[in-house]
Amino acid sequence: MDEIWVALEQEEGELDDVSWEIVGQGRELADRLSQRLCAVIMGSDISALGEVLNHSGVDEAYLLDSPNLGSYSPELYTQALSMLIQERTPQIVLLGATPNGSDLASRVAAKLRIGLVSDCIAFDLNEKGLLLQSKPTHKAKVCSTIVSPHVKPQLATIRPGTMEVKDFHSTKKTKVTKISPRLDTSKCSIRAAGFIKTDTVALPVEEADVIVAGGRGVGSGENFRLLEEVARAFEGTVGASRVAVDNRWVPRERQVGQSGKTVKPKLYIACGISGSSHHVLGMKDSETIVAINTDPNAPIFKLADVAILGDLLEVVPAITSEIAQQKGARETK
Amino acid sequence: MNIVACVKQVVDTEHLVEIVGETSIDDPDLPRVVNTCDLVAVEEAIQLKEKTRADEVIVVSMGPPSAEDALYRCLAMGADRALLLCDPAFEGSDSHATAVVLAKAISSLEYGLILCGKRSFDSEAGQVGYYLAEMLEIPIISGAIKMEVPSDEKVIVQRKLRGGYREVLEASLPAVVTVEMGLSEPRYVSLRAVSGAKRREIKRYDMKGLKLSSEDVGQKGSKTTVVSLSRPRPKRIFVPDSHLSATERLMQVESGGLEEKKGDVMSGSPQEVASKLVQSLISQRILRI
Repeated sequence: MDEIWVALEQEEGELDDVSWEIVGQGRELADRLSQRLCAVIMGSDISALGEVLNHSGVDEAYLLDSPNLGSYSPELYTQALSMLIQERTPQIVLLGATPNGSDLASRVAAKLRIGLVSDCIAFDLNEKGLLLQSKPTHKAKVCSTIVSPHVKPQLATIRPGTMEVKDFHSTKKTKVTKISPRLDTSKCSIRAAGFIKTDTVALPVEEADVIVAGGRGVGSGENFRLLEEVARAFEGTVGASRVAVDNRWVPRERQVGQSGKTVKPKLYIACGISGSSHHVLGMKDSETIVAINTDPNAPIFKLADVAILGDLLEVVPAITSEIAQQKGARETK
Repeated sequence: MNIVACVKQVVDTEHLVEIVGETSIDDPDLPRVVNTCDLVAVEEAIQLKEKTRADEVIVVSMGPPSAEDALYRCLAMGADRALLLCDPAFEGSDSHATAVVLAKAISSLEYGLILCGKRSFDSEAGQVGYYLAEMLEIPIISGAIKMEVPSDEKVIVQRKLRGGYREVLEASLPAVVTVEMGLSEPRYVSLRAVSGAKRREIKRYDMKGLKLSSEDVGQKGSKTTVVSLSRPRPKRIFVPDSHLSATERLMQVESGGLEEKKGDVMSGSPQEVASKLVQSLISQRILRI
């Protein structure tokens, strides 16, 4: 039976968030094409991960387990995945368009000389059963639908956060197949020289997963320091409403809203921001919104997943120290 | 060591884009510009030359005859030589077929480093550099947000990961590096400098000149085909409910028609609230300790 593959990323034994979006798409396509859905996971010592996929709709998991695959290495991951693809010839391979997933997909496409459609936001099938891959192009002003007609597998990456996570209520257990790939480490010409952790507070607002934004209620540039501290604790950055920018408490590039930037972080904490429509238009699509305000009638509360009625100058430092305490407790465990 | 910078001329997508026919937005009237990311590659190449890390900067573009304007701009910025790969047969090339043409032209040059923009702002595939590196059998690092060339032997690149992390990678030269917006700011060139550059020579190659066959390029050399273009879902414009009173309608307009979320309300002392919030964020796995 033909196979559809989803290549999932893991870090320290935990699957990446985008995995479930990819599995959802894969399962649907597998059902429509009457094919099997197989997951490929690469790493070192990952045998426990097969269990995680039980009841998720994945028929079989290929665990590519090797000490050389402990962390993402562009060349070795490419070797391992390309070899498996050549051996088992899947029809479709889907990956997440994360920094490493995109890089891996591009390298595999180049190595196998096959097509790749990156950053897809929707899939469909044409009358021949070929994958119709839709993605935004021309600075998101056009949506292009692309097929890879000649060579298999049809390779695509999925833009994280654009597809539904589906629950298939499958009762099936996932078959787990462990594979120890033989990798040639002698040919590597790229060397990983470590990681740099940038101070997240310095990140541009568009790049941050967490934004702590301040408005009129913050009161002064000095008080924005409190927001910076809590942002650092959340590994996020600081944003601002127009009032805060106009008062020069924060530089203009941090402004969120209609005349500033549009953001979609995982967590948006609005501190002392009333929630005028100008500001709201720039942040309403944030996944989780927390609002801290002294005015119970502030419109921002209507939009908030968590509403905190209180003085931000007291609540914000309390959150910072609470996180520090939790981290401390975790470390002493 | 010479540096090759690959550039693409694209339709200026800041303007309104019209879809013409099934699969094309090409309109001869639309202004054409150099893909911004590619200008960063050219700028970076020129800066390396200014730091005497490079001998010559060679810009290469595959495109229609009008793409010479893109190359003149790069010459005006400070590139030494320009190559235009132009043939009606190249039309309809995807990333793969484009890389075939570029690889053929570049393989006859002497080079130590090839720089490309990370992605073009029309097709947004970001794939040409990868195919190019594979065809030339050299390493590639994609998405440089910082780059250093300490010697003719290696390049050190920082690439963006999530959550503010950067990965540092080293590759032996020759190599392909694709650059991210923000690596450097492309220098301003005056119109006068661009028209001055038009006196300089651009070397042109067609399919025959590159010893390619029509099987290798255009649609035939491509691995992917665009089957349709559509407008992305239009943004929903909010229309207030006319059954409501004027005040309620005004309030709706003010809120942008957003639905109320009716989220949790947390109250208590600052410490209590903070602890409740942090606990709930941890349990929802929004905050990882």
